Amino acid sequence: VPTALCCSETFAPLARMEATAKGYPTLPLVVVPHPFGTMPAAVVRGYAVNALPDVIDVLTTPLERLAGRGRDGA
Amino acid sequence: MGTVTARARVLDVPGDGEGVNRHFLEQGWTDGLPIVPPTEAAVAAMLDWTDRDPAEALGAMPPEWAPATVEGVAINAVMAGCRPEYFPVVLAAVRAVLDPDYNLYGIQATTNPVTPFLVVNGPVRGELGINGGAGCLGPGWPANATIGRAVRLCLLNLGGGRPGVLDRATHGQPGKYTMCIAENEEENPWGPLHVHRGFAAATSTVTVLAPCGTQNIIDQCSTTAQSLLMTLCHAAAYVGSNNIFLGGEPTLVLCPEHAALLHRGGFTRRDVARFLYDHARTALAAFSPENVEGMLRRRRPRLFDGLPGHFLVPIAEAPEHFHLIVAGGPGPHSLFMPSFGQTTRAITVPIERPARRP
Repeated sequence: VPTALCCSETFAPLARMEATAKGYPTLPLVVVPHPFGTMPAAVVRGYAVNALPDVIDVLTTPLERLAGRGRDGA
Repeated sequence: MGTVTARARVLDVPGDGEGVNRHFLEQGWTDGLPIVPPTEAAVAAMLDWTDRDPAEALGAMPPEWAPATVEGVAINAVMAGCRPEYFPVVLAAVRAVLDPDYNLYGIQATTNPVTPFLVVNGPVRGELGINGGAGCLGPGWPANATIGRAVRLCLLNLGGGRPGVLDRATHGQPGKYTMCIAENEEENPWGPLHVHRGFAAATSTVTVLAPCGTQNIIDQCSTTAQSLLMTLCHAAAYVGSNNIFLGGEPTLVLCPEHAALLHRGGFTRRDVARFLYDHARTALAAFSPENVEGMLRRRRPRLFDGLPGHFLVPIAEAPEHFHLIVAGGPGPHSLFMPSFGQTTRAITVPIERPARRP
């Protein structure tokens, strides 16, 4: 199943470590600003809209081309 | 027995103890406090207190998922200042936190201030001088202080849970340096925690819990069990506690005076837990609309969907989810310890002694 992993910027290093430890060092991460839990819904919607092109890119790019293209710059 | 892995390498650090400490601090291998240099001799003395292979991996420790070897645990136990005879307790505690049901990954990586809290039961308490009486949470008790610190150093150095990096705690808490007590079994009128959890009284165990802190509950006036329980219930059921939002296993550390009052009133351990389940509650109307929706209804719709504002929200989903421990000395103070929520469970592990005592 095509899957895009999203996380907030604060958790990006942790997500990268987890992906690496589990054998997926080049897993693309779609990173959104932190925090969002306490932000107004309109702001969070903006984060989602901004992240959408990256999500679509991850879901539609063939796996072999995704390798090494971490969205968090890792 | 777990997977056998490579042994640790020996470092040649020039200088005296101060130089070693500076090197370890610069490498990020400490909790910020001075350590005892883990020389080969000191680590070997620690390893004499287990029959396990030093290269045995007890499990992969998150969030870096590196193998936690028996030797690795021994090195950190030396660094923490443990006497060699404490090592079986440290090993048991590390085995406990590695149990998948404990969810060490979440506990290490969360913004929540949760930390392993070790409760030691059985004869080993007296043998090692682990304090369960006055001032047991510290300071001043070498076994309590160093056993808890050894576990924390393992979480830092074997698990990679560096604060602000992979440990994402907003503040952390003082208990993240060390948090270890014995249960005051002699003053627990309902019998020891480990017996309640299915072990023989003569077996020594470590139970690991995951509290986000200690909240003092003072009650020096109540003269009946019901009156005291009213205080305990109100103190535990506050909006903003992990358990009222997330369920899970809240812990009450009762002082001997409070435990005795409850017992005199005819309350069994089960009765106390039942009372807490029934009455440690807060009305749905006390929560903000966003929290009713986001923290209660969306997470546990089965419990909260469509309920009116006067409905009472419990802090656990069943009476048996409450942990009741007796510890401390004289005084009218009990402690409420909210847990990490439903994603962690208390784990009890028996302490292994070496076949031949060193």
